[in-house]
Amino acid sequence: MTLLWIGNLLFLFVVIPVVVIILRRVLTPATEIKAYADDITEHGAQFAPHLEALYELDTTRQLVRQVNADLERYAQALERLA
Amino acid sequence: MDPAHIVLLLAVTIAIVAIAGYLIAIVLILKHVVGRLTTILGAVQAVTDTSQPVGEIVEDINRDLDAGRKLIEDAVGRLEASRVPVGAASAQSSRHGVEGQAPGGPGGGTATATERPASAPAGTEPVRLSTNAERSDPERHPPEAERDPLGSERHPPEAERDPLGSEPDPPETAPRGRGWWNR
Repeated sequence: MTLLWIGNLLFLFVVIPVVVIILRRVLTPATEIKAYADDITEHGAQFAPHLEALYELDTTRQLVRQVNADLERYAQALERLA
Repeated sequence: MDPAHIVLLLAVTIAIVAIAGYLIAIVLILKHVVGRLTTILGAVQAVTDTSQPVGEIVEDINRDLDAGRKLIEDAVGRLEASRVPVGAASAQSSRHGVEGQAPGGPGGGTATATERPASAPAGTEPVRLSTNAERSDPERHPPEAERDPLGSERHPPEAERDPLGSEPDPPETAPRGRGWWNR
């Protein structure tokens, strides 16, 4: 009976405080990780809207090709003038 | 039941509830973090998919621009090599044109002007005519109908322009531009 009480007291005053301390040491970094994840989501998820203009590069390529064709015609006209 | 057992049971229950609360909080935080990481991973994947073919397109654009630049440089170089600068030729000719003319001589210093004939009617002032280059350039001097498409609306009569009602100028006796040099 005495050993049972010693075991209960050990459980109540040693094991449970150690578990609580360990859980608090886990909870503190988890809270920081949550804040960092929120921050990364807030700023990192803005990449996609900023990169929407990249779809215009195809139009830019087509326009540059048209300008090249017109430049070639212009150069040929200069040749005829010369 | 022994009161010591009851106290011990209550203490253990409170401790277990506290531990369960900590565990639940940790689980909720981890779940939130996993959701955020999933969102970030989707955004990164979208950025990767979007920016993957950009390098090839930019290289293509740079290649086209470089080819156009070389084309224009070659054409301008050939044009410069085949053409004499315009300023030198015009300065030479204008210098010869003025040279040898008397300051008060007939024609006002131009090489093609002729002396006024003796049969010219008195009182008619010679009006400077436009040169051939100016007359032959339809863009700089379009015909009268093209220059003034609005007609009298743009240039209203003198009575409409003068609200005070002053008398208009007397009409000219001889129409301008109908002198001896135009006959």
